[in-house]
Amino acid sequence: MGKNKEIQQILPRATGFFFLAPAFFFIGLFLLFPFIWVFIISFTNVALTGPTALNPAFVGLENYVRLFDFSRWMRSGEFGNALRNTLYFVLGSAVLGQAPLGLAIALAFHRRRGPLRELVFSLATMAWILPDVAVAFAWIAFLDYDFGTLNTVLINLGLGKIDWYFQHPLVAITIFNVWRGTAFSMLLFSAALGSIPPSFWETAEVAGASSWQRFKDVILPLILPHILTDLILITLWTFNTFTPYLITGGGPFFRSETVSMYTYRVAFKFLEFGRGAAVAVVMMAINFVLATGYLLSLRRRRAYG
Amino acid sequence: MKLQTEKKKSHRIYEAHVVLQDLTKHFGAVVAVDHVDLTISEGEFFALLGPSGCGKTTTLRLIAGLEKPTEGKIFLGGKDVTNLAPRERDVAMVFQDYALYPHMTLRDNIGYPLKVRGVPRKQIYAKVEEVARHLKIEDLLNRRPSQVSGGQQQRAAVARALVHEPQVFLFDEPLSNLDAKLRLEARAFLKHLQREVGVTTIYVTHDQAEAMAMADRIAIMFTGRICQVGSPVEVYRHPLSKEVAAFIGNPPMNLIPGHITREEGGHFFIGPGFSISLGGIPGAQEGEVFLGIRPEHIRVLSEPHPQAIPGKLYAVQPLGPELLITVQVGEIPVSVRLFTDDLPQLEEDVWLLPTLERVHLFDPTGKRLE
Amino acid sequence: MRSARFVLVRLGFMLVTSLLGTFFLLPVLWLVTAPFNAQATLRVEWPSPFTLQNFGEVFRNTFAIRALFLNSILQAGGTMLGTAVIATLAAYALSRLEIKGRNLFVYLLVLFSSVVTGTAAMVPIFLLLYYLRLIDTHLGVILVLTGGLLPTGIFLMRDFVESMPRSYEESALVSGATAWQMFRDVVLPVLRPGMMVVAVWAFVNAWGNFLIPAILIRSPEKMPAPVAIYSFYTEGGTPVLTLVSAYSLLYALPVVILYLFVNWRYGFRFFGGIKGGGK
Repeated sequence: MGKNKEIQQILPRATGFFFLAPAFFFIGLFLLFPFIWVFIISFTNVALTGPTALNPAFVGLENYVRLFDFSRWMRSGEFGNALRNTLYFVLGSAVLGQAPLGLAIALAFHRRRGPLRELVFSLATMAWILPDVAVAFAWIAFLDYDFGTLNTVLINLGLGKIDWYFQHPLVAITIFNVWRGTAFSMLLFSAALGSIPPSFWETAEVAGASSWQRFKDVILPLILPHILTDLILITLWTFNTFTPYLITGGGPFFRSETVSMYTYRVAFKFLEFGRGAAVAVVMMAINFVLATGYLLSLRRRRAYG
Repeated sequence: MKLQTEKKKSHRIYEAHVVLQDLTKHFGAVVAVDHVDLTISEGEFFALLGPSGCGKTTTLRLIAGLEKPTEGKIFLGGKDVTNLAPRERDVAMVFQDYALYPHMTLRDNIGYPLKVRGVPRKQIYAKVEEVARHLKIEDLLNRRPSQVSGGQQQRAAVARALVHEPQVFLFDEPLSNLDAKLRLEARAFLKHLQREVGVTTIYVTHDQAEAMAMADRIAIMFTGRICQVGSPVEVYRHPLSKEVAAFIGNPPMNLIPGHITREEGGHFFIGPGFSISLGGIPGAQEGEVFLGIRPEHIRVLSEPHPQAIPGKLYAVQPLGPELLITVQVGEIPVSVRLFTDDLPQLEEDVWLLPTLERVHLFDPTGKRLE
Repeated sequence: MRSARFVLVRLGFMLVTSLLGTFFLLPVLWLVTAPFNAQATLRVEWPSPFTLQNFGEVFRNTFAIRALFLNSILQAGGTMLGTAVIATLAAYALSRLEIKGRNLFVYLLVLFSSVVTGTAAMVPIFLLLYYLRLIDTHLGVILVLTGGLLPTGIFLMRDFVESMPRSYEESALVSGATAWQMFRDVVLPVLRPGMMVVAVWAFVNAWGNFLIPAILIRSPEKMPAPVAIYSFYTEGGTPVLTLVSAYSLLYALPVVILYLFVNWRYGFRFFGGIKGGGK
């Protein structure tokens, strides 16, 4: 009664639900159902090859026990190794890389226009939107020991060349991910800074605050919630990204293998879906914690206006 | 104008053209429109006036069919339309934001009501040209709404309402997006147009000057209820409540709290720091009252007078043809309007002499005493 | 003094930002030089001898051309169409139906789509398609991509729907339009820019996605471009750099063009998590 009646005039309820039906169908089939089903699979030994392919059986917690078998857990190619690599990768590329760099660029060009801004923003955005495979090849060339641009630059700076793939594969994909994803933080912070009314800034200026004071007292408190939001989102995405696989394949000897690649290897190389599902459950649990954090950060932001 | 004449002849003339019967609209727990009864005559220019949130726009939307009433009935031209869809009501509405479609030219915008009625394209364009010529926007028909000025957009919105010759025009604050100068022009234009076309018009506004200037009759709404219906002069000269008195007029009526005592020689009004004789004015009875007096019905004296209210001069605003003087009486600011362009020499102490025949009295609940 | 300091600060600023620009530019330089070099190596160098032969080589490779001009266009195009249409209908309904908590609903949806994502989501989704017999079909890829992109698509579209005043629809109804006329004449045209943005966004995401077709497509004749390029590189010994680089450039070009188009036509509007779902 009451309020709904008015809206019915524009969109009758039945038509509205008819409009929503296809979206619900897709979301149900490809989000909700997999989310629930993956738990069930993780307690079975479903595989597409081998003896259990035809008759999958419930194996209880066996997949999880294997995953968290601490006697071998940190060995090369095991889950613990992948988890540790992921931790370094996420910390290095998202928390220490993308977010500070994005903020620095946004601040540098805050209230500035001109070709330099256009250039830096366009190049960063381009790095962000180009297809995975194309940038992966560009980076394979960029990091090449003998011919790569990066080593050429290092030699010209008198620093000598580095064998990125064999010596520092994790550092290599970390730098790659900073390059790939900084645009998001840059654009987010740039939009956040743009939404600060100029009068705030000017009031501080008139009051005689130095640049650092203006940043600390005016800008930082206003964009702090955005920093939190940004950190959680890029952590979530970096945690799940698969693109570095196209550059190092997780190698050499699993030294750059992240959890995302580990899942891929177990489920789609070995076709052991029961085990793969167990890893997927752990990944989704981590995702879920991050997403909940994101939601809470949004609620706090709303509370503070 | 010839647009409407032919149609009018074929119409039966209804004395009461729009009738609202016990009309009520709830939004959840909020009562937006509260048992409204209203009768609007054929050809009348009727204004619904009130502060924002008083239910006037909801009333208009109920008439348009954009809301369904919780209770009550709506009759248009003698027919019960309460349960009809908007398109079955034969009304036209001009929205506050004009609602001109950004992807259509003005021509297609204006012609849209004819298009959906299946009128052949040639006839649509002929009719659009005719209406546009009348509203002096015929040169703009190939432009998009974003390419014309606010005033022109407003005319286009009116043209779209006019084009299919509806029984009733509904205007929802159509001038509130115009700047002050254009608004005055648009008032005259709309009033003139309505007279010409002669279509019953219901006009919602929160601007009392606009309602006074344009309407044949005004209904004043507060919190979902209609407080008073009458011609502009009636509601101005004879407000039935303190709220209406305070809402109409700019600056509004001065309202001074006090009480009336009866002594020899009639009733006396005792205000903050003064007492004046009310003589035998109607409605005077002992007890708490509000004394209402319009700014133009006060004279300012520079010397004491037995019938005058003493006060302190607060501000003088010369407005050109008139002077607006604010005087502090106790804690209450009293406005006085003087129709002179000479700045009077005034000391800080002044005495206000109200014209007794123009004094209004309201009881503590706000009801007029007579 | 003051002006000298100002000049120094200014120069420092330009130096640092130029370095930043270089950081973003250098890695992709190879993608622009190698395709025109008859003897391409992994080195970035001025093409010598300059040639367009590498592209000719791509166009003579039927597998590569089929992947790019048939499979990729089919899969990205299908996803684009599905996402734009379904997201528009859903966003419109969500905006115009007065449902309690619909804002929270959309947020939760987008968030949920970033929980069920990437390789983790592909484990159950692969099995699902396996049982639905949709492995190695274009339809399977389109459905999975659309499912992943929809939540964010709805989120993007909602902005456009919410910015359309209800008075547009109401004035159409009072003007005498039926619900269908209102939807066709007013709602859809007004929402068209939004649909374009969502369509372009969905296309770019589907076009660039490697993981989903790599997992779901088995037969070479159904592989989209990214999977085809990857197979060039990983299969059959030493990669032919001339072919791979020219093909990569051709494959990346539509994304660049669409970016420039959107930038020019609508201005690059920043949507939180524009790359969110589907990856």
